[in-house]
Amino acid sequence: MSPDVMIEIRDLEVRYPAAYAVRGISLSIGRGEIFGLLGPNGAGKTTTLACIEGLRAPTAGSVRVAGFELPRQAARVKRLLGVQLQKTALFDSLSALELVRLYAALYDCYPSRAEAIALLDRFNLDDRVGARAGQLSGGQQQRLALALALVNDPQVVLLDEPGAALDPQSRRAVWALIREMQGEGRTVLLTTHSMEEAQELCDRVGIVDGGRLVALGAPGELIQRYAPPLPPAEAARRQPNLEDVFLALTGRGLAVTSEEL
Amino acid sequence: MRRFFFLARSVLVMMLRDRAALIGTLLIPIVLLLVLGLVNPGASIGEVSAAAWLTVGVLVMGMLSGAVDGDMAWLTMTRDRGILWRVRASPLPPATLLLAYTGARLLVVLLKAALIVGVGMLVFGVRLQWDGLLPALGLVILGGAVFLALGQAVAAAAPTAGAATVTANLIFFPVIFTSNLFIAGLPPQLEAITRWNPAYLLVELLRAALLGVEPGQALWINLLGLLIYGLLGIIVAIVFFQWEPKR
Repeated sequence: MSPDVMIEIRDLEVRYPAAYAVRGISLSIGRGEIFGLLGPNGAGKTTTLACIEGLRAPTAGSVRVAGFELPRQAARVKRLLGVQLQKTALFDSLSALELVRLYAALYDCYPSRAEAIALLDRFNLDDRVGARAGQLSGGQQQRLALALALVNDPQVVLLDEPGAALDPQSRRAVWALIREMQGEGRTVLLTTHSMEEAQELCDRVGIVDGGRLVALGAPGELIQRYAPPLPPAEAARRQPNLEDVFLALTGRGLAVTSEEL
Repeated sequence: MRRFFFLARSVLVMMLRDRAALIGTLLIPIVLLLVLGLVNPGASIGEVSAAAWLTVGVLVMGMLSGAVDGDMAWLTMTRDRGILWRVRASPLPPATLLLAYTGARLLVVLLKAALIVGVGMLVFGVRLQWDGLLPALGLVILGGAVFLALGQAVAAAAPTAGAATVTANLIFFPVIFTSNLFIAGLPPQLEAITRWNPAYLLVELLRAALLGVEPGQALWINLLGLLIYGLLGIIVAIVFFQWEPKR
């Protein structure tokens, strides 16, 4: 594994009792890259992320982070990762400041009060330092979850739908923060349903469908390669985009998730 | 060690901030003691006053209900809300979290025990054997840990928070009402069975330590019984532990 490769997945398979969640995904993500994993509901994005986070063991294949193999070296890998899960999981009765210090303690890190406030400040939560998590708005909770992903100064940040349920202003603020993470040399792997988000943020994207990787490349390359020609009336109005690619590759019908099978 | 104390302090802060649960866990046993104690204030059971006998019974009931309402609910809540899953993504060993929780919970149990015994002494003039206080302290900690392990076992084995609550109540009420926490002189056939329930084992030990009441069987048998329950609780809690709710 090259030192510039931070995440390497080879022939990853995860099988649940009823169906495959992931079947044969292989990809590498470089140091300092923002990589987006796109796909319909139940495509296998969150499961792939969970394998990298050490939360699920692959049925077959291998996952390495910074050269450490999962799940064998999960404890070492977890120290390198910053994690924001799809479902924001916070103790409602603790304040934003207390949560930063508690989550840092999970990683054996003990930021001072000033350091914890500085982290919240980066996420525009400095005026909510003493507010309990249960009193924060959905957008503030999401930003707090992102702040918590950085409490251990991670090399790799894994974000599961970071822009979900946010208003356009908050979403753009979150995008700026993700770019900042990249500017600090961190590798960011995110999943999203927003093609706009992926096109705006990601250096490369992988599109998964039915547990398989169906396309991989920079958004511009994928648009060039896979976007179907637009009808003349539409072509006069806009350029092809990542959503056209996504729909062309994953179909226009409703996805059936592995949980529904 | 620093991580353990930090986590335990955070858990304690959460418990103290949950005012409704805290008032419920501290107030309900005291109200029960006051009501039951006033029913027949001058009565005695054997050589001790009925109020003293009840005080220890209410203490054990309070410890058991705390394990059912508090500990089990905490584990299922953190699991159902995905907090355990998030913790699992960190390098924290799960045992550290559970031990920190246990430490914080035992402090609340000790506070509850002090309040109940204090009310018994102040309101009903309960007289304690002072040389039994230290062993009683150890028993409260041991009993609290055993009940906590049993609560965690139910929470671990139940697929959801709802199922855990139903299961816990199915266990809690029979355990309470078939033990000698509130009722003296159970029918011998019933007592032969119920003397093995964990509440019965603990209350006998505590009455012997605090009031000098002769137990129905050798104390070491009660102690061993409690330890076996605790061990079983820990084994079930570990074997059936789930990081996320079952789908």
